[in-house]
Amino acid sequence: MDKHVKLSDQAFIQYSRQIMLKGWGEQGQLTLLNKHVAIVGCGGLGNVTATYLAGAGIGTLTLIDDDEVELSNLPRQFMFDHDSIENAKAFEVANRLQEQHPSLQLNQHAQRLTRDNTTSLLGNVDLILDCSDNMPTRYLINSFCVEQSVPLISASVANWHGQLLLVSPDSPEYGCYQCLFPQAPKEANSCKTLGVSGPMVGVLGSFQANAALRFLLNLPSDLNRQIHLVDGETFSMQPLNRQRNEQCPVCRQPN
Amino acid sequence: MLKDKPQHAVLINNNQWLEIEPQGLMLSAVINQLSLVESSIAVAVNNNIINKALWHEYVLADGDQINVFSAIAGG
Ligand SMILES: [Zn+2]
Repeated sequence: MDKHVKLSDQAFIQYSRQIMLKGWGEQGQLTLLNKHVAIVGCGGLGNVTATYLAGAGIGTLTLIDDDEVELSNLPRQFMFDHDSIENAKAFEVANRLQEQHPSLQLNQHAQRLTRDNTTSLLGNVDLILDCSDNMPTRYLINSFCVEQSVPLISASVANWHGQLLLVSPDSPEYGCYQCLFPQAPKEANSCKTLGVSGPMVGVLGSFQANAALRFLLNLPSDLNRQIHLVDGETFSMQPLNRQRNEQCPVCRQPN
Repeated sequence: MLKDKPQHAVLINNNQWLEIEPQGLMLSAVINQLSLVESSIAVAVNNNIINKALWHEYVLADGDQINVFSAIAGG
């Protein structure tokens, strides 16, 4: 794809309310138009992040999910309706986005991310958003990001709670996802096991998309050195400072 | 509602006081006391994540705030 060097008049008007933001500007809008973001998981978080990133004018999105839409997804996965049931989520999201944003470049894969296809599906992206629903995929994405020096914004949600963090290749001293969580819980903290509040998916997905935009625009944040615990019962966010775990098998520095 | 703080205590997950000896208590002892599955939890003291290798040498003081949590997988 050719690099965009100028915004059309129509694009300038369409994006005017965000171009107004401090640190965004016309240059920032062009930056976004030339970025490629991968969204792994097209469920609740994926619906929200894909909608906001496409809406914000990201140039290219890669969507990955091997799941099909189920009836129990509908309360919080607003890009789907009864007619979507049993259709591949990645294709449903891609179709919806393409209708809304004809010039958006899309790659959609109705496949599970595995060790064998990570490079072919996630090569050449500027940023990966982990919107997945299981620990093996979360660990897989994290190792790929650390090995290939690709920035990762990880969000998750279940019950009334969520977690949000950024693993940036520019600040390895704060460690990776696996530094924080060396082992998965025996029983996954997932929407299937714990249930989930739909609006909390919206909260986490919105923060994840906001973090992605700020990261791509090179705007300051402390997310690369923190994990935020988001609590929908007390309406609070608690940032905790991370550090590299010297025993981490993923990001440990060779001696 | 959080109850009044006992004279010597640490706060667990912003909602529960755990009484400790005046001379302090090892972080690993608190984790044992809460009967948590060690392998899958992350722990922060006063908003700083403490790596597992340090739990057995980290001495908690009166009023310390401890967060214990595990990875959420859902998306
Ligand atoms: Zn690590």
